[in-house]
Amino acid sequence: MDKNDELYKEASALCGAALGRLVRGYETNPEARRDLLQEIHIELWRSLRLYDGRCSLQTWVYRVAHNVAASHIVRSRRASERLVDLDALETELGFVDGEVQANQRLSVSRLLDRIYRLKPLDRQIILLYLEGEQAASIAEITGLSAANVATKIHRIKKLLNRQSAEGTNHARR
Amino acid sequence: MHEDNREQSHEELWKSQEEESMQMSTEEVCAMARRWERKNVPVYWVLLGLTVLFVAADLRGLRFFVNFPSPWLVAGNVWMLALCCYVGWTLRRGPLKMAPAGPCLAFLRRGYEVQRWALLGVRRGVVLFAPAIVALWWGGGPVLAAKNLGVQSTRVLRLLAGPTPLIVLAVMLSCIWLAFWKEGRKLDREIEKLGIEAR
Repeated sequence: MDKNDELYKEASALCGAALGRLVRGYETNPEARRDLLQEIHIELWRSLRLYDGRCSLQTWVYRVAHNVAASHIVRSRRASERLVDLDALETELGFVDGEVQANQRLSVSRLLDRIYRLKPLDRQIILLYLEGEQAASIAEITGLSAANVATKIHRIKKLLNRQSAEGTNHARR
Repeated sequence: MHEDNREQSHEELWKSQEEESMQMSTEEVCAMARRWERKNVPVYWVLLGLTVLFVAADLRGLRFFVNFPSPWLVAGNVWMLALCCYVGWTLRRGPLKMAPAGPCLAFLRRGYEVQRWALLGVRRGVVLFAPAIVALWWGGGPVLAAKNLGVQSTRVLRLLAGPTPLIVLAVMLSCIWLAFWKEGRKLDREIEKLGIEAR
């Protein structure tokens, strides 16, 4: 096993779960999502030959993953303008068992529905924010200024909270 | 406090969903990535071979036209050959590709620039093909080609000798040019927006 393989294994162990969630924010079709995840892993392996340790391995992995995923949506945008509705997302999420689980899945669907409408750069920021990354780290990954990221995060938080409140009110009615 | 809880719940909600699992082991990914790299080498040689074939076919056409007295046919064919060589050279070099490990903003911008580069290349090609097409038509190229293909009908030959082939080609090329110009403008706007984001 060469050094590249070892580095890839380390990266995969470090961010594998996050990558599994990340592709859900980029692709609705389960088959295409698996292909995208595979493409990300292959590009990650190839890119690691150039890894020089100037940024953390996690930052490197996120950059590769988001760049590959953004290319994927830019490429497929014209081929099929897919607007995802709640019904499609609920079907995709599978059979709902129990009320608590149903509510949680519905909330995830709503969250994903909002994410799918965003342009690549904003989508990258919201996904990184949801993964718990700090503004400085998001700025390093995306290449935006920290101030710009902070402003965007503030707007995203407001948007998510407003829509959550609307969703709750709607559920009460 | 209330807002903090909601923020946390968004993050928790996101992390609570089922992760997409990899269908392959890490060893399989490594092997597949190596195979993928090797696969790209034959594609390069096939593209290069096709360019050589195209130039050879054009050289053969040039030899055929040199035997005719019309200098317009020779000029048109030489122009076409030069253009094919130029296009082949440009495609061989290709745009500078960026490794996907760069910052996302720069990567997206580079992606749009590469697309714009390709569109610009097609538009330039369309404009540069125009003089060759006019010269070949002026020299009676369509009629000669039809006769060479065994067309005997005087009606068809008369149609080909008239301005119809030139008009049809001009309309087609204009439509292509306009469609690519429109796409180019869209990309320009995207690049401009990313430029504003970077500030």
